Amino acid sequence: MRTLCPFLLNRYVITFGSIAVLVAAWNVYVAMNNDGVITGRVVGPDGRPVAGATVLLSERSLLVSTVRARALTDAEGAFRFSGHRLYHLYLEAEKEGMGRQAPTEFRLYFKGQNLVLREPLHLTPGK
Amino acid sequence: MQHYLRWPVHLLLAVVSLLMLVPFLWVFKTSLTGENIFVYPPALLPRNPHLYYYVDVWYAIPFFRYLMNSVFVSALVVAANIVFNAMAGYALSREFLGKRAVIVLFLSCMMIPFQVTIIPAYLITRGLGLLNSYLGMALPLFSTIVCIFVFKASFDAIPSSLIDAARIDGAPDWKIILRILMPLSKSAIATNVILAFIWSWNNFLWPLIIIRDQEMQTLPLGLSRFLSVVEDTTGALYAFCVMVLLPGLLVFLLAQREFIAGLTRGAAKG
Amino acid sequence: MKHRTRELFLIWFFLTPSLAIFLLYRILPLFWNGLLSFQFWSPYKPAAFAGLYHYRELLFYDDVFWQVFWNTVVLMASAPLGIMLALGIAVLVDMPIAGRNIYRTIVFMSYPVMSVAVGIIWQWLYNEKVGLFNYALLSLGVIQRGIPFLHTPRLALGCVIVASIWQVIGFYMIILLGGLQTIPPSLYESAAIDGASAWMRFRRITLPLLRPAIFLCFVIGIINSFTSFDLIYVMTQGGPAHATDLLITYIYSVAFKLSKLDYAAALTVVNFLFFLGLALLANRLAGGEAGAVDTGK
Repeated sequence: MRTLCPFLLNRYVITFGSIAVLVAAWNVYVAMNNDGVITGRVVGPDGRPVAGATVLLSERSLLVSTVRARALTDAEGAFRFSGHRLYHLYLEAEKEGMGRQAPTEFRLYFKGQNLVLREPLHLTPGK
Repeated sequence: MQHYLRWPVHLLLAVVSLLMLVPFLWVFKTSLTGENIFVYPPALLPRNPHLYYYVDVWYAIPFFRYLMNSVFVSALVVAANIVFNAMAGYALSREFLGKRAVIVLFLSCMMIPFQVTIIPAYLITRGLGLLNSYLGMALPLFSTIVCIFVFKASFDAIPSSLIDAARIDGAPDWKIILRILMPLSKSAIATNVILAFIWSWNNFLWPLIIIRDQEMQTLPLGLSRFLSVVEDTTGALYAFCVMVLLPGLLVFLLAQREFIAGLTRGAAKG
Repeated sequence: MKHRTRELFLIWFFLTPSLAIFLLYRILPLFWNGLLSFQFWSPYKPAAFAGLYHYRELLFYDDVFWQVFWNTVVLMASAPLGIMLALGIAVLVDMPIAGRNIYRTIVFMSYPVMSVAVGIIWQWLYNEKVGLFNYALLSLGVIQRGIPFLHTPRLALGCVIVASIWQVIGFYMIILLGGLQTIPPSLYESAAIDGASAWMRFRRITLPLLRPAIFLCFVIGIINSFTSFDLIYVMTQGGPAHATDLLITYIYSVAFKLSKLDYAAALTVVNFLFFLGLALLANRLAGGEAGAVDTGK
């Protein structure tokens, strides 16, 4: 053990060792959080939760925007997606007669990161 | 002992340091915000820094693949360099017929810069079937004359009494090299590692010539191809730039002393 | 006796790998290059003897060649400027102040990074719309509209030279610093006692004793102007209209973009002879062996 200590204190070992540790820790974090779950709420113009609104999850490339999944909000206005594999996505919400929320951009740190919306999606009337 | 004011010197050096750092800081800042591309006038401090451009680079460009290619080729070059240069350096530290001719040959090779050899080197590599391969990329760099002379100087400096004593004890030559000469030449090995690593890590022209597959590209090649393929109006380019700079800077900062010593020794004939 | 032959065998065995590499990738290419330059060579037809055809084309019919030759000379001539700046920085860093190693590292940091990255960064610093230089000039009110630095034939080479100096100044500084530190301080002290001013001390003691180091920097500057492929290729690709093309980038585009390997070989021979001539001249001026530098890059 005594001969191991000077080896461990070498600055190369420290640097690359900490990098390796960081990479391993990051991979563990990613593995634990990449189920692709997105949860959020939709509220109407009056601030009250809206049930039955359609939420669209789409991926936008340079030219086209493809809808990957859609979900309906439940009685409390909450919706849930799961199993997505995107890192750059757009969410929009719409309900007949109540308005819509234009596509809002969300960027993640890795593919399929679990996302919990901090702000609910607001429906505003009018085109 | 002269007395002079300290602060003008500090001021001047601080200005110079700032000038030298501005390009790095600017590209780092843009990689965090991307606003200099879209927003005019560009601002000095990042307004909404985010790391998402790095995510874009990671998924859109095979950065990891390029990194591994560079690492593998550099590792190959460094390993081959240490072995071949030490061998040649040892040979040159002994006396033998034709030694002078060999030294003159090596020195004259030093006068042939790599750029002069690119066309036939390409034809040779193609003839050997090594285009698009790690070995093809690494082969021309397997041995450098400067490093051979560094080893030679290091071996020459070892007192022959040590070697003679080992000989008398009946040790075979290879054992003498491995057990006595190499451990005493640690700084020559360090110089060799640093110089070989930097030359192969930053090597751009040679991979540019012989690599055609996108998958085999090294970091400098990947960076320049990305630049020509994507318009430079994206923060991802600058994130890529930063990611490419970081390993080189890291190695340099870790190995500063050996690096500077190696370069000065390599520049003034070893 | 047997030991001696065994040792000889070992020696030659040890020399073989390095010799093979150099023969294969330095000496053989040099001669093959010369051979190619006298041939009409194409991958589809057998080679034919061409005599001095390519050389005549190069010297008399190719304006681009003279342009790139001139550009290379200009780049070489800019080396003294970089060396002077580096000398000033080296003198400052040599002074016994706190944190001088940090300054030294910061200045030197630009050298070991990839030339490709340096080229991209500087290309973008010079950008007409979003570059830092145009921004500074515009906000200072010096100009009304952004200047397309790298697309203006008259300015482009100067801009590239600035980037090149930024990159290499750290290397010059290190060499000059090494030279400065070999000057024994007792020389300065006795000169000060004799009443010499700081400027006199610099001129009479420092400069003459730094001559080998300054000379080495010159040689490095010359080599740099022959080998600066990466920077030019990424910054400007030799444009606009060959204003920033160097011999080496021109050779590359002729050989690998136009596929005229034979003409490029002739260009390479001229390039090499020019380089060799300068190197021998430098060797003669330095009085012997002091000219050998690493051309491994």
